[in-house]
Amino acid sequence: MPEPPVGSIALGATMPARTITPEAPTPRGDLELTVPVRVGAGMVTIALEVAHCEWILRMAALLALRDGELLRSQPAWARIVAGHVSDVHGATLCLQSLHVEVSDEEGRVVRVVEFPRDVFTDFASARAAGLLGHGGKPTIGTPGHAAGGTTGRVAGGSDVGGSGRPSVAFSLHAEGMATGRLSVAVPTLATMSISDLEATATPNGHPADDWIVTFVGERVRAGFDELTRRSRASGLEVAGRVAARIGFDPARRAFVRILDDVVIADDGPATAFSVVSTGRSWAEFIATAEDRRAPTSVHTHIHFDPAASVPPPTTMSPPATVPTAVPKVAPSREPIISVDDVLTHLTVFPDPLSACVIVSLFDEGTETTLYGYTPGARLRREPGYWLLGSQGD
Amino acid sequence: MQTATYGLQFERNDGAYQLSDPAVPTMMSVGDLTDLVAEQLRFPKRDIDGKPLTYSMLRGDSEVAKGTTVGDAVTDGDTLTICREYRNAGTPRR
Repeated sequence: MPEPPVGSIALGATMPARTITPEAPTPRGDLELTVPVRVGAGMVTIALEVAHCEWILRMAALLALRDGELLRSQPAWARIVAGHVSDVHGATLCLQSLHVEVSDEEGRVVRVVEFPRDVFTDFASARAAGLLGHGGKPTIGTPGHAAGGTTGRVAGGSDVGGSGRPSVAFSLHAEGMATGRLSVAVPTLATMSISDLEATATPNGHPADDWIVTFVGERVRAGFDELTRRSRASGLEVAGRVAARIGFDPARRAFVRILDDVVIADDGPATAFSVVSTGRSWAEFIATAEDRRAPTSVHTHIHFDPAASVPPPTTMSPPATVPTAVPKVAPSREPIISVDDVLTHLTVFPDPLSACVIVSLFDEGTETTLYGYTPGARLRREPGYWLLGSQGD
Repeated sequence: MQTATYGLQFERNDGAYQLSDPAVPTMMSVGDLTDLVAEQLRFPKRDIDGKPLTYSMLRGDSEVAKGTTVGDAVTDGDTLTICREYRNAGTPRR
C-alpha cells in the first residue's frame, strides 16, 4: 500500500480569519532587520520586511519536515530570531546569522535552522548593481572583512566586490530579538520513488540528489522550444511559468520535483534584456496547473544579436518594440543568471522546491540551465536534471 | 447606518496562505484592498530599493480593476487570488 502523503497542510497555511485593516497587521514581534550596503565610498540601507525572508522561513520548515521533526497533518509555525552577534552598535546588533525556529502546532520548537548573513548576499549585490548601473555590476566574491565607519557602518561585513570592481560590502543589522510567531507553509507531498522515476528517464548533465532530484517532462521541453521560437522571432525576452508536481522519497529522504508543463506569460513589457511578468499573467497558470505550490519560473536570455536575427517588420511580433541595436546580454557562450534574476527568485518564488530556468539563446544553439535552492537557502546552478520520456518508449 | 460588507476569502498565487475576512466594506477600493491583503498574506510591500511593489487581485481568470469598489467588482463569498508582478533581467537594472 502506498504511504500517505507527507506534509502538514493540504492546501497551505490558513491564517486566522480577521478583518483586514491597516490597524491589524501581521504579528511581527520586535525584530527589525536592515542590510547596510557599502558601495565604494557610498552607503545605502535595505529595510528588510519579514516578507522578504519568506524563503528562509519555508526552507526551515521543509528541512524539519524532511527530517521527521514536523509530523503529518500538522500546522507549522516559525519565527525569525537574531542569531550570532558579532558586534553591537548602540541598540543595533550586527549579526553573523539568523535563526529560524520552527514550531509544531503545540508550540514546541522542533527545529532551529541557522542561516548565515551571506544568504542576503544577493540582496546587497542587487542593491549595489542598481546604484552602479549597467557598467558597474559587482560580482559576488569570497566573503571577507570590510573596514567600518561609524554610523551605519558595515564593520565585519561580507565583501561582495570582485577584483577590479567597485568595493561592495554589507552587514546584517537587527534591532530587537525576534519576530512574532508566523504561520508557515509546509506542502503536502506525494510519496514518490526517485529510483522508479530514474528508471524511466535519461540524465542531462549530472543531476544532483543531495536533497532534491529534478525531472523534466516532455511537455516542458516543448514549452521551452516555444519560448525559444518566440524569443528568436521577436528579439525580446519571453517569460513563463512551469507547473511542477512535488513529492518526497522517504527511502532517500529527498524531495522530488517533476516539471510538468509551461504556461507562457507574454502580456508584460519586454526588451532584449528584460521581461515583466504581470500579476494578471498568473491567471492562466493558476487555472491550468495541476499543482501550483512550487511554481518554477522560466525566461529567455538573448545572447544573439536581435538586430541581425529578427525578420522584417511585416512579420515581427510585436513590431513596435523590437530594438534595432541592443546590447547582447553577454558576449560569451556561457549562460548567466543576473543578480536581479536571483533576487526575483528569492522574493517571488520563495518555495524551496521552486526553481528558475533560463533558456539562453546564442547565435548558434540554445542552452537551458536550471537553478534551484540549496538547503542553505542559496540559489545554485543545478549540475543536471533527468529527462522523462526520453528513453524511446 | 451599518456599513455594507462582504465575506471574502483570499489566497496567494501559490496557495501557500489563505485568509478569510468576514466583513470587507463594499465601498473599499479594490486597489486599497489588494495592498492590505497582500501584506496580510506576507507579500513584501516594497522592493529592496524601497519602491512599492505591484500586486493584482484575480477573480477566476480575470484581474479585478483597482479603481473599482469591492461592491461593484466582486460578489459576497468570492475567493480572490493575490499575485505579484515581477521583472526578470539579463542585465542589471538601469
